[in-house]
Amino acid sequence: MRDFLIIYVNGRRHEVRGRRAFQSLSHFLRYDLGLIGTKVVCAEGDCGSCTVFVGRHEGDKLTYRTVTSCIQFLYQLDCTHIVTIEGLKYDGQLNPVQQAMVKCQGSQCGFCTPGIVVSMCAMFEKKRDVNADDLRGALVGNLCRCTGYDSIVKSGLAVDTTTLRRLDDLYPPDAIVSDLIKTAGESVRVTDQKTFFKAVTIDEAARFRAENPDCMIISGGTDVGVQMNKCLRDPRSILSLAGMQALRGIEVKDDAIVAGANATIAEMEAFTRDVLPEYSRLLYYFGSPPIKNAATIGGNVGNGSPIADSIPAIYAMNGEVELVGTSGSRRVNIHDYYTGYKKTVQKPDELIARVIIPLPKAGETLKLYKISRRKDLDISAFTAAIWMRHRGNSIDDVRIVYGGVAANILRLRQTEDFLRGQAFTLSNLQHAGKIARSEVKPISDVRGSADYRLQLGENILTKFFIDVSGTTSGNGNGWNDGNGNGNGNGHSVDPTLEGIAGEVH
Amino acid sequence: MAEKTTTEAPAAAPTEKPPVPQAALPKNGAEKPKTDTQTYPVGIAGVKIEEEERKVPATEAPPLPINEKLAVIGKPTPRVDGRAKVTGAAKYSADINLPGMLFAKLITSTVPHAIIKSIDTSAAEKHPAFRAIHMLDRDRSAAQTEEEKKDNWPRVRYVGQPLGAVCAPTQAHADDIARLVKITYEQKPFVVDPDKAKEPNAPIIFQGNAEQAGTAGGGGGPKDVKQNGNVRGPVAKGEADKAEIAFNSADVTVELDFRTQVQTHCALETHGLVADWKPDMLTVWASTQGTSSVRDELAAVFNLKKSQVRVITEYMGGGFGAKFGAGNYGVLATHLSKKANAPVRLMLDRREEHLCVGNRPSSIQKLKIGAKKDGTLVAMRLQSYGTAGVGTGAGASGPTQNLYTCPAIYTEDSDVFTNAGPSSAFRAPGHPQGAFSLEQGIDSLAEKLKMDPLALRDKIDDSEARREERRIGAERIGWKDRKPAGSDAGPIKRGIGVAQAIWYRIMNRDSHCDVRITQDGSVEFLSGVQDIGTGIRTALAQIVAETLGLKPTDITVKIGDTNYPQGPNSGGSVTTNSISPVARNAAWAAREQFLGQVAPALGVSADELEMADGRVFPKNNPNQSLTFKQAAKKMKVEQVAARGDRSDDYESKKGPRGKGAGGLGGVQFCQVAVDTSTGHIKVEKVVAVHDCGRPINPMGVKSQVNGGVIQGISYALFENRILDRNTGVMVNTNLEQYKIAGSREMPEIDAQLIEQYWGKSSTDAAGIGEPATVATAACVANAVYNAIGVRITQIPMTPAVVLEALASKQKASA
Ligand SMILES: Cc1cc2nc3c(=O)[nH]c(=O)nc-3n(C[C@H](O)[C@H](O)[C@H](O)COP(=O)(O)OP(=O)(O)OC[C@H]3O[C@@H](n4cnc5c(N)ncnc54)[C@H](O)[C@@H]3O)c2cc1C
Ligand code: FES
Ligand code: FES
Repeated sequence: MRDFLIIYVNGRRHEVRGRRAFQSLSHFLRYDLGLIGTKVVCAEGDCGSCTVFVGRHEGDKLTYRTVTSCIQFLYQLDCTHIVTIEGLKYDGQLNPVQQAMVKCQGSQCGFCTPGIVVSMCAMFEKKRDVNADDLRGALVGNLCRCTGYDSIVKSGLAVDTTTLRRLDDLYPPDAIVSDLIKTAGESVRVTDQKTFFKAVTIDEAARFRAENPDCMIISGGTDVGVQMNKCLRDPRSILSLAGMQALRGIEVKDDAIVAGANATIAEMEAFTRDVLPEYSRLLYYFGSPPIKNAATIGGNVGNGSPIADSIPAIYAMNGEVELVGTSGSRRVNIHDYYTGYKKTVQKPDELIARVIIPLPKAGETLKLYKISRRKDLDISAFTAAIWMRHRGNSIDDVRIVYGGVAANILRLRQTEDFLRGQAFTLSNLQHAGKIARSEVKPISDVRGSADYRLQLGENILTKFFIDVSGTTSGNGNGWNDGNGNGNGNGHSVDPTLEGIAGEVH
Repeated sequence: MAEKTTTEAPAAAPTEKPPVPQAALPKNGAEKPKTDTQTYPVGIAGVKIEEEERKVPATEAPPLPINEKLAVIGKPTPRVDGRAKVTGAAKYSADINLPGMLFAKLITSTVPHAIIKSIDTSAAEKHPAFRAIHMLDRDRSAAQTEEEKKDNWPRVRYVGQPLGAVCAPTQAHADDIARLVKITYEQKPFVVDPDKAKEPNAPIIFQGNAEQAGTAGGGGGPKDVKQNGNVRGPVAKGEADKAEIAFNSADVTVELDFRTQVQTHCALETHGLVADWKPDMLTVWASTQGTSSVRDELAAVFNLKKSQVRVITEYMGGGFGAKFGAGNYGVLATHLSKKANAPVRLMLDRREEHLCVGNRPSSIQKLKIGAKKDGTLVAMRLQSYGTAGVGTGAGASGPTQNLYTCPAIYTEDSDVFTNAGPSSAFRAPGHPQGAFSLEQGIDSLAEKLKMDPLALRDKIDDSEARREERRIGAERIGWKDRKPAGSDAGPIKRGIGVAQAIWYRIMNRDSHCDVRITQDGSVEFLSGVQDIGTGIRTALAQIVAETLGLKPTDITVKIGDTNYPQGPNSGGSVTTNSISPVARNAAWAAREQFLGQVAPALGVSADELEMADGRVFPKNNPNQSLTFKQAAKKMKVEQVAARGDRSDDYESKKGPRGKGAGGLGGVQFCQVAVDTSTGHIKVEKVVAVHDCGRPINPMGVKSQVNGGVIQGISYALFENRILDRNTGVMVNTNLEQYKIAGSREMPEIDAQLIEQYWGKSSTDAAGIGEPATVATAACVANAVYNAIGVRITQIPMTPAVVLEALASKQKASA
């Protein structure tokens, strides 16, 4: 067990001890290291001004992903290599992205510029031949108030890609990786008024959890980082799962997706592209590239927000959550997992190990909807997941799940009861919409009014019919009657945009 | 292209010749710079340029020809500070970290309306990290009544109002300590909704007349306005009766109501500064649009000589009108530095930034336009109420007053006080609101008259610049293919719209600089003026380079420091208009001294020498040349230096005539797609055609235009300050729920510039920051109308708003 963190920054090794180990990454960079190019604008992951690369070793490679450093804490980053804007020059000279940003006036006041350069470099790490849509997609997490993005996109298109070098070329991984391989297997515990524990095995994590029942679990930190920066949370003890290999990995087993709790949303999006495209398309609109690179499926489930995007599909597919604790593991059906607003059946020593999502079989359909005011980087106002099994033209079985209409994600049992055994027709779905409307009691908040949500709750079933049947037949009034329908983000993906948010090798 | 706009262009053509005595002077003024009558190009490049004479002060640099004939000015030039910005090396106020520096945190109010009964700081002072505390005696950013100036503590009038600040060695400690200060309030009834606040029995926010001290960047409405309850105003312009009578002669009238929301500035760098109080000198690193405005305010508050206050702004991360003066935060940081005897950094956090340092006021507008059958306007009337929170200056009548020729214009602007943060200047104060109503009104009028919206504007707008801009924009957006409103089949409907902007050629004569040339060939430009992202640093380098025959990168531009000669504030699009002629004049004067020094070495007289392409040579013998560096070595003194000052605009009454010609123009077009099933609006393309006199750096100007467009689109579709009417709390004080446009919401922007010459200064350049943002929201709304056939008179045009508008149209037609 170590009592300090090992963090490389721009190729240099740092050992971080005591109180300093509790800082956010952006704070560490700006104050301890004087790397002021990383800016903090919102401190909540929304603007991307603080974007940096985090390199983690995978086997003998370093894999770099961007994250928003304002909501990453150092204890999540033991045994990583951070590359900041200051570390992206080529031998002291501007790299091709930086050159293009100067040449094409990609910067105005310049406060967003370092974050934009990092995000753009990340895109080029993955893909060289890019178009304007790729660039806009890669910059979804970077706000700029000055330029209108036009000159930034033009800068991206003007990059001389022949002279681009990879991070592996700038920072030969061998020396760093051999150090990290030696040290990454060690757990870390630091106490300075507060305590954090970076667990490596499930066993020791469960034991720490049992000894510190009030401890805060942190995985990707995209929820708790925001809560801590807003001073909504100030835990005395923290359990970091970021180093647990056992919680990583995604596979298909027994016709179900079995995802380790530490699987990131970016990894889930990439993995499900083939096995459950509907899910992948939904996750495409989750947060932004740096958020998806940090956020985990375990964290999304663990946070248990009624508007979390990954969860409605787990309900609709009748999935499960696998919990592990000091006395072994157990699987809980998702419908039994939440007992109230952000309350679960999880025992004090337990944590989420895996999330299981059964795949739709032949004759089964799954549709997912995420509706927000803005398409990109916006928390949902309303979500829906609808699973249906057909027999001929009739509905054999159905599960309808709404988010954003109650304190928890809601299963619409009365609506389901009505539909079961009915013919799959527009009028039946429209009638079901009326029942759905009476079954939900949404509230008004900043993301949308209760009326708007009620209307969406009703219309989404009509939209489902149209999406599945590809027709509006049987109703002269049509579905675009001006009363509002689901956004159907899940259906408007431009295939050329895919593959930007994923990981970087 | 050019032949379309003939020399007989109506109304706006510069037909009036200046009645100057025709002194027999050589045209090539460059040879005889000390004359007092010069000839200037006047008109629009590519349309018509004439030569006109102006009487100018003898200290002025000679006239420049149009951009086409210049080497550096008018050529797209990458920003000279680009490298510092793309590498993260550029140091902003938020990055200043001095040895021993303390961090401060504001103490803000938690209730919307109250009198402070007591303040208990004992718990805070006991904290081991406590260093100092200071409480304000008043809210320096808000309006105030005469009576309360005697109070010890500020009246609390909104949630999040700064009351004081503490400092400690780390930000986390300062945050903790600020929470330990206990304030006891006597709460009073409050109101945050302007409609409610207008009612006679609403809680009164200011007992007695309230005035808001304006800052250099605006904010603060007109003074001595009558006040009735929470309504301050109206401030009327024009004659009401005359307009009423004129309406009777109209063949058609349109009457429409509009609503616009409160928008916060959302500069990425928040307000704030680092103050370092030393017994003989106060040094401040401020994120400001006016170094001298910060100096002046701090000198006044702390009773210092202006020479004892130094304000530095090397880089700053956006202001958009809100960053002038020292503000509550600046005064607090300085008090804390003085008390703690250490430098103090006070940068606001994002929540505070939304709450207490300004916003664009809302508006509730009633517009009436009357016209003859042929489109000729006969009368316009606008009544506008807006809330600037606890500030003043919510007027929206600028565009109605100034954009179109109309014999009877009557406007009334009123402020409605509410328990919300004060407004401040925001990119073209009042104008995006006013254009949102006026430009939709003009489109409605065109529809009633069965006229094309562009043809109507050709009829009623006498600005020569906008005429050309309409022509260019119409061609680029494909106006001729525009379809009738709401005619697309299917749920996704597309439309094209247009809207116009007006802004004014404003300048500040308090603009000065030095240009120095040293023996080693280095050239420096020094002025207090600050580059807030607009690129003035680059423009100034270009002007000096042009004058000395050098490249912009040869010039070291040292700005943003009150130790240098007084510079103008950067607000209201005054900067380029104010400082660029000064740079030209100083560079010219330095050049004369320089040539005087090196002429003997070349064996000719100074006036026989020319400077170009980095060389100095006799005009009649270009082959006998020295490089600039070689020539500099020949100077007999180590350094020559010259001061530049801003003269008045040349014969300010001369120049283009007509109403529209008094200001700057700008015409924008856009194409939108509206998904009528979800209510989502996507702006697919923007063509923004603008003018700013002589563009110094087209690249920088276009960048400003793009910035105006994004803020306009964001205003039209997303942004909205939301206050909870039960608690007075702003519920979206972040960038998650307060949405600003992101990369995929923004379309391709086709920014086009025209070059318009007036013969008014030695550069003839004007600003562009404001005009670019005026027309956008109106333009989107007009395009949405063309798409769906329903006029949306309220912003932000969220999906819910669009769906509601579509539904009410259906109801109406059913
Ligand atoms: C800018 C931004 C955009 C976002 N956009 C979206 C979006 O579009 N859709 C959406 O759904 N969410 C969004 N989120 C929220 C967040 O990213 C997700 O909820 C994410 O999945 C959380 O994962 P994490 O690993 O970061 O969780 P953490 O913040 O690490 O943890 C979240 C919670 O889960 C608990 N937890 C974590 N892991 C475990 C475990 N293994 N066992 C038990 N409990 C655990 C933690 O204790 C904590 O309470 C966004 C957040 C930000 C900052
Ligand atoms: S500061 Fe905005 S994302 Fe980190
Ligand atoms: S350049 Fe100012 S925020 Fe992007």
